[in-house]
Amino acid sequence: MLWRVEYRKHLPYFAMVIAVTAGLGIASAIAPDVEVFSVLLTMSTLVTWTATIVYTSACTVRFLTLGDDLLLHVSSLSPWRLVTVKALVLGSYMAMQCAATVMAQSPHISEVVGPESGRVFTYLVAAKLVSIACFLISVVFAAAVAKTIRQRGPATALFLVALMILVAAQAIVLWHLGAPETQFFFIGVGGDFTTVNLYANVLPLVLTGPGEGFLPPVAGLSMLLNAAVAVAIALVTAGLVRWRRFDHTEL
Amino acid sequence: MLELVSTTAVSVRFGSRVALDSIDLQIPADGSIIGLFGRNGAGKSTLIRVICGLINRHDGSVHTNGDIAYLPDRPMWYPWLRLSACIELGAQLWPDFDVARAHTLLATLGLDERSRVRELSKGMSEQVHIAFTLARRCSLYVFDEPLAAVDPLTRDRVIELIQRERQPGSTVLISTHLIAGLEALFDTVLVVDAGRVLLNAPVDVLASPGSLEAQIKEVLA
Repeated sequence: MLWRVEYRKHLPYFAMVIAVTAGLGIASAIAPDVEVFSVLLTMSTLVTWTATIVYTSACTVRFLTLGDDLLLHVSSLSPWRLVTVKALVLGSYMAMQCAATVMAQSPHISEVVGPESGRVFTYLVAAKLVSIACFLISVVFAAAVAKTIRQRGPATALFLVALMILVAAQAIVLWHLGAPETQFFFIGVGGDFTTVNLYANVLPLVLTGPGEGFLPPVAGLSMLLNAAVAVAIALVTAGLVRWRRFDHTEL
Repeated sequence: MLELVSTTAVSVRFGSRVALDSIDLQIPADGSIIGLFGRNGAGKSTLIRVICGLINRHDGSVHTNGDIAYLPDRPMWYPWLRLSACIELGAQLWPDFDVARAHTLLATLGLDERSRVRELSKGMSEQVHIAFTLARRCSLYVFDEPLAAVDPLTRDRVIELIQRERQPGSTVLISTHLIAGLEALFDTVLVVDAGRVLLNAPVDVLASPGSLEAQIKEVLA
């Protein structure tokens, strides 16, 4: 029942974004010559994913840091177990959104990439899923750090700062580890798939450079870095939970 | 006598504000109904949250014996849930939640379990919240302002529900602003102000139990 309730809470938002993505994907597939559909699909992908990042962050910080959702806080279940349930539910919805996004883009990817499209699909999905896991663990960590403050405004600000530092640090590390001098990184998603989409945590980066093909070594490196950061942050968060006493009340 | 809650020198600060100041308090397992009184901002809710384990960053020590059923001072059940689903969820949230008892309590209130929480009137919603809290088999029930914002008729129903349906032998702690008309409800009076306990005494040892309101006002003056 707890899982059902959590899925029900987030259903309106994710049903909407998945429906928009799937609808535009279907429209693009049916009418590939109508450019407005592909433009809308690209724009909606950007907007819906940005909204999803904001939405999942807000849900997590409101529950864990700000103490909203009284019913769960007065339950006998540990707030850390509950936030894990919440993160898994949000993660599974994000995975569905990822599937909808990739399916909507699939005709275009197949057209551009050709015989390598299977590998590109696999990479896109795997990279996105690892980045979602890394992001959710980072959000829980940042929310736990912010939980040490007992005022709503400053706690929210600390959460945002902690999360941004984490993501920015990861992007810089990826840049230094993975970018030969002949290549360029920029923030965003390459819609034409002639470039490589990478994720530093949840931040999408695009790598451009001559002669690298669709899946250069840095693509694998970005996934490994996300996986390593996810494990490290999960361990640090577990330590923090054991080491500190936390209030579980509304701020 | 067994103590359900025992606090020693408990202090809580929110920034520079002292919410609780070295509170020593014992809540015995004597089946009494304790009235917790105090002005707005006196520290009643903070004290309750410390007792219920929601505020853990405090000085001093808190020992509890047995489970505590706590109802906060605002609605907490999701408005879109049906009452039958609330019961299912309650069974997952609390191991001491008695499903059969929850069904019985809803039947006592004359409610259709297919109703959603948002379809209930304010007074009925309050009674449902109290019923679900009482469906837990606990030795201590803590209600934070259950009588605020309900009409006099509902207030009487709420009081009756708590008196009649609580676990036999259990102790009840009720935080409230209302005193008039409730003198007969409480066995013990606990008055807090500025984070300190000013009075903790059985009603029957106070000079004139009939004028409890006047005595509490005098303590707070």
